[in-house]
This record gives sequence, structure tokens and C-alpha cells, in this order.
Amino acid sequence: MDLFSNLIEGFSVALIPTNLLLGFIGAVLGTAVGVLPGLGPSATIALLLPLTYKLDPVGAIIMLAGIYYGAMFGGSTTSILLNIPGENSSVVTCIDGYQMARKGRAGAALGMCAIGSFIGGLISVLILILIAPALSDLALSFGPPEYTAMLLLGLFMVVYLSSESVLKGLMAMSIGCLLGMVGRDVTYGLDRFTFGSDYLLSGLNFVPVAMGLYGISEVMLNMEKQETREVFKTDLKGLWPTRADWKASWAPILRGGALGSLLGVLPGGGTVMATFGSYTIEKRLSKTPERFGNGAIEGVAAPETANNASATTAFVPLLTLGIPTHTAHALIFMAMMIHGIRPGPLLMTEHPEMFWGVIASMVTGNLMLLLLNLPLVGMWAKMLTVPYKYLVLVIITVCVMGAYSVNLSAFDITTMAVFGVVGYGLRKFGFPISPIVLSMVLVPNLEASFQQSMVLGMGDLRIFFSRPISGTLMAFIALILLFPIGSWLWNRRGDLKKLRQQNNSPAVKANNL
Amino acid sequence: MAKSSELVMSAFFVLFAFGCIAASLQLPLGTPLEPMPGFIPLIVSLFLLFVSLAQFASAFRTAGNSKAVLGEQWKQPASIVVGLIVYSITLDFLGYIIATTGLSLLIIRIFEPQGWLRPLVIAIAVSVFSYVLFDRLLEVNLPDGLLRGLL
Repeated sequence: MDLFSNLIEGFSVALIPTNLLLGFIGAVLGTAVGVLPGLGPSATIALLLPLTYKLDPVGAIIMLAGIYYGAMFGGSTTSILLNIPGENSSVVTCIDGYQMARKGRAGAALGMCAIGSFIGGLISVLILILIAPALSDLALSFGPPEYTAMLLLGLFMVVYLSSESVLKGLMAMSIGCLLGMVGRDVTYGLDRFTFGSDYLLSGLNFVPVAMGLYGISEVMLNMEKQETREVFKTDLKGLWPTRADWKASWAPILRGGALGSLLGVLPGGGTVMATFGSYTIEKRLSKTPERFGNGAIEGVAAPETANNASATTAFVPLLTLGIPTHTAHALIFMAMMIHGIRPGPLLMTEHPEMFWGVIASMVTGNLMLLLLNLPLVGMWAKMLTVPYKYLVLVIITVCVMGAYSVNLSAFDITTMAVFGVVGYGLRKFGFPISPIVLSMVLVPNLEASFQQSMVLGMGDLRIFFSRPISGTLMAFIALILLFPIGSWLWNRRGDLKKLRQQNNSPAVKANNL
Repeated sequence: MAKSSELVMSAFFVLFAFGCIAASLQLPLGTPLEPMPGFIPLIVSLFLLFVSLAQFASAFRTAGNSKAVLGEQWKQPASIVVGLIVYSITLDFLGYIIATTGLSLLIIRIFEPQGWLRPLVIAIAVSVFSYVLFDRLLEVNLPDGLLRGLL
């Protein structure tokens, strides 16, 4: 089948009324959690994962994907009205968006965000359609060593891009791997790290663990902070941008869409990098860079477009290589596996309705988001005034239901509470959570492909370095690991140089005398 | 204070890594040609030990100028966790509606320490509404507990 007929098939799936409704629910929920600071798309997907068991697989994934890119849409509202980013990817939007709100142009900023996000979504879907089949074909030529190297690269990239401290990121990754290995080994039937517990025989249940690490720990952190939110009171009229706004924004939107689509494919921090990158580029290209930071509409349009574009192309590694590169994608990966569908290079041929249906749903979903966000922006802004105590009630109730409904076991609620404390402690110490969740999901595949590679290479580790693709990927991993060491040594050299210069200065010499 | 917290945390992970190494060594390791269930856990545990030691060394060198790890408001998050554990223990016996009313009441009282009537009404409303949504509409099959026969 050619691209065109594939797309027709995708739309015939995405436009089924049930799938449209599920896409709509996903978009609404995603926008809501994007608007509300403190409950991100990963936590929401984790909460809703068990509820999708009874849904048709394609519809379930359409809804979960809608939550992810819907959150990118919604994140801008808090940035503009509260000067608090709803998501990490909306941090840059605060700079000019809040300034626009202060100048009475909140409506234009929110409108441009919605339009930019829509266009970004469309550009990235187009890129996804064009590159995904080629990547899938390439991935089909991968053997176990290439797959092992690809999984390792994905994990190390997430550690490097999502962590302030690479060491803590690596520790988090190791903890996730160890958690993923709990249970009965499928090949040899031996129990690992079960400590005689029957509950742990089938492994740690991913859903309560993820909900504890994200949902419960988030609630605990927010309860401790007890921040009061003050919504910027402003007129939300004039949502449709003026001619001058369009003139200033069309090129930044296109550039943001292209940059976001490219960077979105990178694991871990693609979305955040895309927003910062597009903002910096626009400021550099602008003839009046002094306007940036003081309410320049390009400073809102470009990063918001890049943000949504990267959120869409971030599905490329998941759908074509079977490698989730973001926590939300790890959860979608789990949802697919639960429904008996294995994401990866064969997805396009084995389940074309899933592959093309989800891609087509991104087009319909983005259109829904535009229609939702422009007229209902006032309602989203009002949501920000809901007291946190009521949100906590909703979050805890959904968490409890999510954990309980997996196995109808009350013990899963205890697991969730325990991992809530673990997540709270780790986040207090500055540990990133995404490497834990991602490695927990990926380690069974990693272990299997490592074992196959060892058999293939007769127990010789050089198999990973002697084949061109796996060798290149391993070289990238080495670079990722060596870069922080190199930069530490470089900084230390600079510090020593400064210290030596200070010691040689006449004032210090005089003091020493 | 903050520096010592970092040191304690790193030391904890060093000990944790040692524990994982010991647990991995109790499993058959196999050979690189035929790695058995203990092989990868041992490699990961050794890696965790290495990075935890590096983190310990880094925490030791860094000046203690970071903010305190535990805030003053830690009791409220802790009560949520205790509430959840008690909830999980009593859920099957009390049933979803009674147990959820109790948990919701606890959460509301954390935020609103004054008065009982309003929090109780909200807690009952939350538990009944979520019961109807999850048990009746989404067919989750929640435990009836003490209310068996009444629902």
C-alpha cells in the first residue's frame, strides 16, 4: 500500500465516532492537566491506564496520545495567566506570554498559542508520515546487538537530557532496571528479588509503581508547598491575532514547527530543547531583539509551535523502533503491550489500523484542540481557581481506583503509597523520575536482546562494537558518558588556572609576605 | 545539614547496591555466552554501586549550601501516605464506600481543620459519585464490605 492509501485507512479508523469521542476525551483531559500545574500528562496517563483495558486497543491509544499532546496545548494557559508553566515545555512561554497578559493582550497570546500549536501539530504529523515508514524499514534490518545498543542509547539519552545531575540520573536508571527485574525469570523460571513474596512473583506491577512515583509524590510535594495561585485578571477578548501579529508570527511558527519536529525525535528532553531553541533562534533573527522579554508575540508563537510539533514527532521512536523515549510514551508502550500489540518496526505491517489510525487521530485531535482552546480559553482559565484541596481529592480517588483495578488487589494501593514515598524522597533529593520508569519498562527487552546478542557473538562483547550500526550507537553512548567527565575536568582546569592567577597576584603575594 | 543529607542519601544507595549485589550473587550467574538470571542484575548492581560511590564523593566535596531537604510541612504528606496504607488494609472489610469516605474525610480535614459537617458531606458525595462511576458505569467491581446486600 502506498502512503496515500495508508492515510485513507488511518482516517477511516480515526473518524469512527467512538475513536473521535475517545480522541476528544483525551484532548479535553490533556488540556485540563496541562492547564493545572502539578498534574502532568504522565501521571494522568498512568491514572487512566487501567481504565483503558476494556476499550478497543486503537481507541485506547488514541485517547492516551490525545492526553499527551493535549497537555502541551494546555500548558501555555498557566504560563500566560499565572507566570507558572503548566508543563516543563511551557517554561519559555512565560517570558513573553505573561508580559503580553500584563499589557492586556492575554487573549492574543492564548489565541496565538492555540493556532501555533495547531500548525506545529500539522507540520509534525506530515514529517511523521514521511519519515516513519523509512525508519521502520531501517529498524527491520536491526539484529539483537543493534536493538540492545538502541535501547541503551535511549536510556542514556533520557538520563543525560532529563537530569540536572548525570550521576543521579544514572542512579535512577539503575534503580529502575533493578525494579524491572523483580519477579520470576521467564527463561529459567527462577525467582529474582522476590524475598519469598507471592505478590512479587509476577513482578512489580507497573501501574501502581508509576502512579505512586508520579501522582502520589506530586500530591505530597504540592501539599508541602501549599502555594497560593493568583490568576492574572485580564480581558480575554481578541483571541484571533491581528494582521500585525500574523505578520510577525508566520515565519517563527514555520521555523518553530520544523525545529520542534526534528528535536522531538530525541529521547528525554526533545520538547524542552525545542522550545528553548526556537525562542533563541527567533531572538537572534529578530531586527528588534529588545522586544523579547517584553511581550513579543513571536516569543510566544515560536516556542508553542515547537512544543506541540516535538510532542507529535516524539511518537516516532515508539511507533517505529518500539522504544519509548518519554515517560508518557513508556505508559503508552505498556498500554499497547497490555492489549497484545508490540510497538516497533512490525507495527506498521501487523497492525496498520493502529499505526495509521493513531497518526490520523493526531490531525483530528489537533483540530479538536484548536476548536476547544480558542472559544473555551476563559473556561480553562477559570479552572485555575479551583482550590487545590478538591483537586487532591480527585487525584487520590483516581489513583486509588487505577491501582486497585489492575488486579482488584488492595495490596496494589499499598505498593502505590510506598512508591509515592519513594518518589517524594527521590524528588526531594533532585533525582529524575523518568529514567526509573523508562528503564523499568525497557529492561525485560534489554535483557532478552543482550542474551541473544551474546549467543550471536559467542559470548564476546565485541559484537556490539564490530557491527556498524551498533558500533556507532555505542560510540554515541560513550560520548554521552564521557561528556560530563570532560566538562568537569575542563571546569576544574579553569578553576585551578583562576586560583593560580589569584595566588600570583601582587595583593596576595603582599599578604603572604 | 543539606550536605550531610546528601551524604546520608548517597551512603544509603551504596548500601542498597551492596544488598542488590548480595542478592544477585545468590542467583546463578552463568557465563557471558549464556547469561543466567543473576548476570544482568549483578552488572546493574555493580554499576549502581559505582555511581553511588561517585555521588558520595561528589557530595563530600560540594559545599553545603543547598536548601534543606525536608520542609516543615512534612506531616501533611505523611498523613496522606498513612491514610492510604490504612485504606488498603481496611478496604475489603469496610467496603469501597465507607473506606473512601474515611480517606476523603482525612484529606479534606488536612486542608480544612475546622468543622466536621461540610467535610463529611463532601467525603460522602465523593465516595458515592466515584462508586457509581467506577463500579456501575465502568464495571470495576469494587468491594461492598459492610454494605454488602445494601448496594
